[in-house]
Amino acid sequence: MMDGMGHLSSGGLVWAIPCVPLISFVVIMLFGGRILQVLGDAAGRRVIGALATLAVLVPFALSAALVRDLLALPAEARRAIVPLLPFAKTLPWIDAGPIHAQFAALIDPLSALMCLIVTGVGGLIHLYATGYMAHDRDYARFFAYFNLFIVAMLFLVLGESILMMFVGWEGVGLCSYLLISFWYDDTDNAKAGNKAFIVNRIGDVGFVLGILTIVSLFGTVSFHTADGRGFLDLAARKETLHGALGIGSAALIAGLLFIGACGKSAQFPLHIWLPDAMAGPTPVSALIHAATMVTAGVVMLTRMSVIFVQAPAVLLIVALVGLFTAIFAATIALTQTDIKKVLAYSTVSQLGFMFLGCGAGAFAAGMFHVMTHAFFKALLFLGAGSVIHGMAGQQNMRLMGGLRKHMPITFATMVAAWAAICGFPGLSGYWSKDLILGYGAGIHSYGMVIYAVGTFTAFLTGLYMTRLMVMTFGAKERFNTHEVHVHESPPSMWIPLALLAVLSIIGGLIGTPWGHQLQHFLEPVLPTAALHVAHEGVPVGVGLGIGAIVAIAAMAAGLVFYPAEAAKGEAIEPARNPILVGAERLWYVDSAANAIGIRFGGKVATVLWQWVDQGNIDRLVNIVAFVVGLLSEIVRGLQTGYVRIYVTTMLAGVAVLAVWALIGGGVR
Amino acid sequence: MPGTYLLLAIALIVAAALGIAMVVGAYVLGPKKPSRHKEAPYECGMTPVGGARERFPIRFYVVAMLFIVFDVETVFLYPWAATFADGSRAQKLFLLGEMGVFVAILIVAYVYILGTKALDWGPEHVDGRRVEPGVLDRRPPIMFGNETSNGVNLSQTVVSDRHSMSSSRD
Amino acid sequence: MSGSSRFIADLSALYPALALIGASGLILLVMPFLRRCGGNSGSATISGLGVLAALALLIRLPGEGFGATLFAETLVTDSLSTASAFVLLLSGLLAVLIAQSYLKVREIDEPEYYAILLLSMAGAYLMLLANDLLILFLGLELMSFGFYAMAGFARRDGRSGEAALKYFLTGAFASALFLYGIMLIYGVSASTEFAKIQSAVAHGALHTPMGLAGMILIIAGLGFKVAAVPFHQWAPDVYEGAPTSATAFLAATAKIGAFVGLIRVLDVFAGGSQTLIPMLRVLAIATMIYGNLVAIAQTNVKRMLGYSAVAHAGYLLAAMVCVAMHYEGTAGARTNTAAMSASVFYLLAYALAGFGAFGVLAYLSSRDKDVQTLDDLRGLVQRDAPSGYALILFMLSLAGIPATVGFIGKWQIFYAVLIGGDMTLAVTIALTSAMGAYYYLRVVWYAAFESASGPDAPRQVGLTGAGLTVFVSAFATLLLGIVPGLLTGFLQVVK
Repeated sequence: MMDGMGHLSSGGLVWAIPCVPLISFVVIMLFGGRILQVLGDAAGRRVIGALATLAVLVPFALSAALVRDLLALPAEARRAIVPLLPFAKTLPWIDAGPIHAQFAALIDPLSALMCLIVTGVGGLIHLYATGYMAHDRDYARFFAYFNLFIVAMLFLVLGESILMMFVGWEGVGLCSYLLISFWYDDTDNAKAGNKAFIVNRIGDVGFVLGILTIVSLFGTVSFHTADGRGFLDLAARKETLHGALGIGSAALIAGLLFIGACGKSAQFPLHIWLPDAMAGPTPVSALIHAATMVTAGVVMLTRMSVIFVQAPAVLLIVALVGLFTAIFAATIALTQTDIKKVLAYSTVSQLGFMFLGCGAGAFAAGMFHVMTHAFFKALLFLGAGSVIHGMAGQQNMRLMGGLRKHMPITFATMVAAWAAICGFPGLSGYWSKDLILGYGAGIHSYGMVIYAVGTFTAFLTGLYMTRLMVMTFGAKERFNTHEVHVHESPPSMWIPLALLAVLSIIGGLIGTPWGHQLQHFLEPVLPTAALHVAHEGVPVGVGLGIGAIVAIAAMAAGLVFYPAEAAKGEAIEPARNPILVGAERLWYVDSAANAIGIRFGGKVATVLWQWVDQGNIDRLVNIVAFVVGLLSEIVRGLQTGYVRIYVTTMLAGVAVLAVWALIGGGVR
Repeated sequence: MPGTYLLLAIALIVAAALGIAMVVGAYVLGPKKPSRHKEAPYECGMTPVGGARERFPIRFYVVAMLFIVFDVETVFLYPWAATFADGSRAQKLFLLGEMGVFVAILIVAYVYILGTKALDWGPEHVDGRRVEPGVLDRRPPIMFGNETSNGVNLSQTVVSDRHSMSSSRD
Repeated sequence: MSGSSRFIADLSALYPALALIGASGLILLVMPFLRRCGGNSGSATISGLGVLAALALLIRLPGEGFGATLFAETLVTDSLSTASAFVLLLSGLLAVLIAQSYLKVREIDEPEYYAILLLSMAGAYLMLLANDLLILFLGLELMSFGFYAMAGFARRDGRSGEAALKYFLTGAFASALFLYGIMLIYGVSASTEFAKIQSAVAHGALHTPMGLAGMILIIAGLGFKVAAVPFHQWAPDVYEGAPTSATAFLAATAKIGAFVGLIRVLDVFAGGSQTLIPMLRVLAIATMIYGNLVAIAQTNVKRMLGYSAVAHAGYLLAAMVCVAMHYEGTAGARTNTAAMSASVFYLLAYALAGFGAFGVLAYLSSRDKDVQTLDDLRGLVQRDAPSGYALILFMLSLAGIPATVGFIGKWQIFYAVLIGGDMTLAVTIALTSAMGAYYYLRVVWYAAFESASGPDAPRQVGLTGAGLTVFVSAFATLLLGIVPGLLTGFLQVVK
């Protein structure tokens, strides 16, 4: 099935994919300050920026070579396990009981595709950040974290075992936390970082329990092994350590893992951290909280698809949660005024689409949307960043407007992204969203409801994105042009925009209903069962037609309706419509979380802390510590400092042992 | 087996008896006329002067150790030479190599001795100043033994450095 | 194979030791004459190159000699000897680095130190290959003589002299016990060769008082070297008094040599006496409890690390119990591989953390101040962040906190003990580790949370040998703590 790296001509360099950014991280972290000192500030920043960006582009080149090599192989041979150490045949990582985890990469179409996305989009955003963060105080620290994030993300997608995936999973969580609260001087940023970290912990509990269930059921943590004893291999054959893989066990694992995916990929009700995460610098929002990390849940679901398809009930829940999240977040996005908040809720909504695709069994469609979303959402965030950069930090859309004249390149690229996310026919978002909705319609007995709600959400998507575009670029300036000197961004910022715009436009062409290239590429990763679970509920032509009509209608409606509203700027009166009010207040989810989690939980915690812990447990612990300390003072008296005593002790020891041996019946 | 040991035991007993008989015999038979000089500790015929705990240059120890180095060499060479003659050609070659290694190690020691000037006994002049020669003179202040070296008050150094671990409890 | 070619082939196993001895001889030959022109850095260079050469020769050891006995059954080369020799030479390299700057600071930078160090390492290397009690003794003595001299190397420091004298006197006594044990074992087996003793043991040699006494004395002699209770009392005094570079060296090397020697001896004795395992278990438990307990009361970091060395000897002795169980056949083959590899890995972990911790002390020491008390470390993180954080890392590693190599080592031993089914030992390891965390974390507390008490003494800046030791140790501690398989991977690549 697979034997090392024999097939892959570029396999010998796989170790470099995560290691190059790792080395760059270490260098910048340890010597960043020194570089700035020695080379001077300006040159030092250039060196650090170039180093960090190159450290992502080199793995990108390697990933591209990897994909090329995989494509050259027959579909069933597209899998290899490559140790992350040059020239080594194996690299054991953890050997504990049944667990024999390798420190190795699992190379297959899924991981190679994700590597390509992570390093490709990541590289562009690194380049962008060299411009965006140019004047930041902690330039070196930012790029160190950024590189570390790439490393963790690569571990997540490349890991040979679910343990390594977990290391990457936690690693990206850590980087997310570090970068959300990057400007830690502001308490709100620090709080947002904490919120992201804590909410993710809830999901991680599910993930960890899922891992433990896998270990106890299958007795291994490896996805695949050369001899077909990885747990995905076993699950595909419906075997476990204890017999056949029952539907209950599969559902347990799938359910627990799905909780983990909900946390990381911001699905309802664990989505509340993502909008707050926009407190970080905009490149962070683009890379981590839009393009890559938040899609980790979808990647994980796809990786585990063999297990998920054996738990149809869980799959249905995945689809419904995804669908609900999609429409729920879309309504909120419709009412927000902070440009990054709109994009954040848009991301939540789009992630819901991806989960809908996975829930329908169309994991390839979900991954397709991961890819296209990475292109256009990264572009949207970078464009928003460009706007914020040009507006000197302003994020409120009501105080923008008319920027198309001031920032023509940003505007042009944003238009591409806007059209792509709305699903304008022919652009990337059109193909992937349509595919998901088509499969969603195929979910038995609920298909048409799901399709209707999904299509309505797509309409809302068009609406809120058009609102964003109109309020930002359309109409007249609603700010004092004499005070704010809006300017186009430097080339280091708009070049990535332009490249992403191209990708947003043409990126969907590898997954059209006629070609299905991406789906075929991913097929070896997906269970054959999944191909039977998922089927399109509407004819391809009808689906594409409806998609096109909805998208164009939404865009047109928005263009007609919003200029008037946008013109009112700050003067707009508060909404009376209860739906809009609810959406504006985030549907009270955050308030509920505050009430239950913070206020009520806080009270419980106070009791536990002051009465149970400090009052009782601490006292007990202190008594134990006191006794041990006392014993230590007593026993140290045995150390007299006199050699004669030392020697006597040794002799006495030997004598005691000898007497024990003789009396203890050692002699026959 | 026991027979052999018996002979050994007899020899031991006879030897011990002989020694004891001589000492006891002299004690019993000899006349006793003690004087101050006779009661003084025996020190190679010299009159003892001062206490026994006198300081003397550490160089004596060095010389004693050097002597042992070469003494052991000789001790090893004799049995080696005795066996060498009996060996076959191949064995002789091997033995020659072994002795070569042994001598080489000794040469290292010898060169080291020369290099550290352990064999220099005469006075030496550094920067026009006469300094005590010997194995330790290249080193920073000496703690023990060399009371004529200038600049260091030995007794003080010793006292100030003595924070003995044995005196204080752990 | 004819005698001479056999001899030449066997000799290749000793090349690393010969490289060490050769470098030592070169230093003695050359350095006295070069003293006046260019100081002493040459000695460190020569010894460093010597150790590197030994490492290269070790790696290039021919594969066919693997698992073979050499020189008429007196030496053996197997995976245990090769792996532990790798650890030994690695720590030798760190020992040279740490000495390079520390000796200068203390103004005791003499070439003899390096010559002695190399000879001592050669002795330890011999212990790893020993397949004969006399060879084991020879290696032990060669190693120990070096320790005695190095412990007393700071001649102007009364403590150093006292440490050396105490070490020498107790060490001589322990050697006497060991030698007496060899004699008694010879008495019951008519041989000093391991294989012949083993067959004698199989015929009940250890059921005689003489054999039992011999076994106990040999274990006592090795127990002295690893500082097992009740043969441990020299350790805190020597650790405190010896120059910091020497302390680091003897802490690591003595454990490597003696524990591998102990594994070999256990192979010989196991199964011969039902007292062996209970005895080892009692020694292990006493050592763990005593070391950790008394370390709590210490205020001098070097002395504290001396007691910590006792405690770590206890953990390793716990692994020895499993090794003995395996040899006896009371536990499955898994115990053996687990306990054996755990021991070697633990030795490496301990060496890294030890060199790192002593390296930080050496790095911080200056001409006027030899850093060794908790007070000296107050507020270290503010004064010198890199060494402060490194010290914290090493303390965490010694305490066995995850993400450090110390955790992996301790966990492996714990695991070996668990699958060996020895609950008493497992519980003792767990409880005493908790006790250990207290005094290691106190160092962390002083370094990170206390504020500096006075102005910082001027010291060498830049990348000194000790600084390099700290860096290398910290890097390896962290890296192997996260990917312990790298070690096996690396060995695989170089083989």
